[in-house]
Amino acid sequence: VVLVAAPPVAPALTPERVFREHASRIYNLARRMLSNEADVEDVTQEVLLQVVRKLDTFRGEAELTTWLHRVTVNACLVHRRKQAPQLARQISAPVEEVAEQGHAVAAPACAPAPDHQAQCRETRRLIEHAINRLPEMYRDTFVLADIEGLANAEVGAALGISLPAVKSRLHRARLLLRDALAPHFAEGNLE
Amino acid sequence: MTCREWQELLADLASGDLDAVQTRRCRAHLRRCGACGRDWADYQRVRRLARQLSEEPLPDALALRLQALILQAQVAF
Repeated sequence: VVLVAAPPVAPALTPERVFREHASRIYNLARRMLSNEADVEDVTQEVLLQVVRKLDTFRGEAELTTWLHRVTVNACLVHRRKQAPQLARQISAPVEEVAEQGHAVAAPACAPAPDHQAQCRETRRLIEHAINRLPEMYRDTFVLADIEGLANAEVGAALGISLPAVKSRLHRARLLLRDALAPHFAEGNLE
Repeated sequence: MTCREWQELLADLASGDLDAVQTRRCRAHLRRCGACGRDWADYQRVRRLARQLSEEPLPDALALRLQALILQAQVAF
């Protein structure tokens, strides 16, 4: 007699579990796509409540995760469209400014940190700052692909753009970040 | 190919979308050309640093508000 172990049963998707395991991810994705904390909180709340209402329609964790990305991105894009045009201009700094300010703004605070934790905080601050300075079209693609770890096709589906457009924007975003962070790479502050 | 043209291939090299011949040629160029080699190392560093970014915890006030709303929504549905 051959005993075959039953496949592990995944814990049920409950509102509490969704909150515990996904709220922070939704919040952080929104935080990286939007510049206004109130909008970030609105999006987090909106998306979480949508999940709770539709919880019984998801067939599993993977489907929920994909859905969460898509809905969070959509909610962020809707919030952005509501913003006044001048705010959109502030968020999307000119491309040249990104590279210039990467050094001009961040370098003075980049002295050797007294301990590893402080060094990590400083590294994180520099990178987050450089990402925030990216024009939106590049930032969105970079956040979804390189931070959230979505496949290029998933990024395209979430943002409603073609695969070649995803690749091109992602490449441009990485080049802009590389240029913005280059002075810190040279100083050995970002390893 | 010029250095600029090789640089345009870095995204495909990073995602493994180049075929074997292109990959070999591109990597050979990156080894030979000091400037492109450094640019590639920094390009990779940007990707690695992005993956290491940790998540900010939810602000306490937001967490409390969300928990209360979820509870209300459960009662309503």
